[in-house]
Amino acid sequence: MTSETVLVPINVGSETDRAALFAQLAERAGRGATIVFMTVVPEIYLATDTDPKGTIEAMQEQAGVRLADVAEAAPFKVDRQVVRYGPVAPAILDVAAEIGATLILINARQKGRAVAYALGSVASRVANHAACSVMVLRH
Amino acid sequence: MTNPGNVAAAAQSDDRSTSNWLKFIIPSTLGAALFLMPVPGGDTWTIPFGVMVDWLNGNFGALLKWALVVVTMASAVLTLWYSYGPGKPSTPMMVQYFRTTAVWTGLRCLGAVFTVLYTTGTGPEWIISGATGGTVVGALMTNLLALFALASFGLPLLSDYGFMEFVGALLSKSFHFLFRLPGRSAIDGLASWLGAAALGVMLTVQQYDKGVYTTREAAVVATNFSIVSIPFCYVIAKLVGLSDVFFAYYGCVLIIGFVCALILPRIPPLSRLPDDYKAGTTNHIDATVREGETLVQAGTRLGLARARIAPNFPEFIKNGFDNLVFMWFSLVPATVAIAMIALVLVEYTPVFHWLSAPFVPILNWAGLAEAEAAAPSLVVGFADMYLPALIGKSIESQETRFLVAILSVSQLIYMSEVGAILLRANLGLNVGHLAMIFVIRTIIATPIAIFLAHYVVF
Repeated sequence: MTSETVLVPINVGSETDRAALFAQLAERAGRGATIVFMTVVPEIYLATDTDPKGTIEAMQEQAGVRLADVAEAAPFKVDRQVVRYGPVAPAILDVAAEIGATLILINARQKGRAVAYALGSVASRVANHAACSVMVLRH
Repeated sequence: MTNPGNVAAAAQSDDRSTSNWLKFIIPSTLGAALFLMPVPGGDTWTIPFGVMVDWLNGNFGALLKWALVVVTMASAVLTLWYSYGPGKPSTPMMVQYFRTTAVWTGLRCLGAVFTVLYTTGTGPEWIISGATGGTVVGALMTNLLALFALASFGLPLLSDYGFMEFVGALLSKSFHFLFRLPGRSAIDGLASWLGAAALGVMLTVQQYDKGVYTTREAAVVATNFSIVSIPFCYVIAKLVGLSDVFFAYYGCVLIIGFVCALILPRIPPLSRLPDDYKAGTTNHIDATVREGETLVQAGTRLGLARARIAPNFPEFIKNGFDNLVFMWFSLVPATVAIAMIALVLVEYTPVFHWLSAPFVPILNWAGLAEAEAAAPSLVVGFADMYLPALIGKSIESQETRFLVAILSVSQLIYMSEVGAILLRANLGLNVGHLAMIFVIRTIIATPIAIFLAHYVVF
């Protein structure tokens, strides 16, 4: 048995092949690790919205449904699912601290090289600032 | 806004108590009166909401001007402090309001700088001129501050207490007959019209996730019925100086929306989207109107169900205040920056004139006055909903301004909000599809708007 808690940020807006990610997680889950899936609804400019909080709530609900779909497809038990709104990397770091994650397992960037170079990637920011170990999976 | 998706569960228990009837009828009647009832305003007819916005601007214009300075400055300072400074946001609310990415932090700071320089008159000409700062800070934003203050408390009366479900149920069969869509789409369309376009899109996506819509149906609803809400249409009409013909203007918007909704679902790209339900969903039944129910009975049942889960008075006040603070501090400064950058590009660079050059001969051929000034508004609406109206504000021809104001809200797909949400929603629509839908809507809307302006309105 292990007391490992693995936080797995999932981009529910993309149809990424998660086979490698799930293989890693299945092995850890088999050793008794607690698996926490999370997704972040990135900030959006709601310029004409008179109920931005209601819209954000609806976006979080929808992200929660999509996250549950991903969790259901996983060949192991997902112990907890978390949905946040805001800048992605800080939200991941917040949740990692809240749940006492011992490892963050994250896919490498999916943006084009130029965009990722200009804006940085979520994975690199998480790797730079996390208090726990971070494993970045390349596709 | 409480999520209308929860109404399905609430509708199972039929709460017909007097208190629930009152909770349904009183706020809904107040909301309908505030936003939909024609009242005399000056020489013409307007809506009570418009009278209130004008009253706020007329009596508290100076206060709103300086409130904008305070709001943008506070937003910039607090965002810098909590996003990149030593500040640690201690509550989820502070995180949501003031911790953001570099791009949004930059926009909020720029918004504050533009506002201070314009309001104090100390900025360079390209910031304080009437065509840039005067339009954005002087006209648009003070109207928006007033609009947000009133709409954040007024619109929930229409959207949260059953009115939307009642009218949606009444329209459900028409939607099915005219647009080949499940009756539920009438409620989602009304959520945009009476609430907010972004929220309407999200409710549509939620219905897709539940298996009520197919991919094609969800995309059709989201790209045709996510109409900009009534208060924003009023602000757009006011901005371009057409508030005296608001009803004619809004009538034209509805006619154009109706024609687009008849045509767009029948042609690519929407017609080529798969008519498949989301994988894993099983119950594909639209339960808006039950077997043996009349439309009024269905509307009453759904309206009462919605009223039952609607916020009570203290929650209503709290939700309105929360939304107001969020809009003022999170959205207003970025809107100032984005609108200013766009107008500076329009006024001081040839970028938009290059982009819109192909449309000038077409508008000239259609007999439109000041075609060159109006042409950029045909393309910039893809970026943001406000931009066509901001560009068109200084056009002298009333008919041309009318066209610009119509396009501003009829093009409907703007990437800053609705487009971005649609891309995230995984409905099979990509940027190319959205651009194509935008162009088709513009092609349909332009001749109708020119015709109506020429022969009906003026």
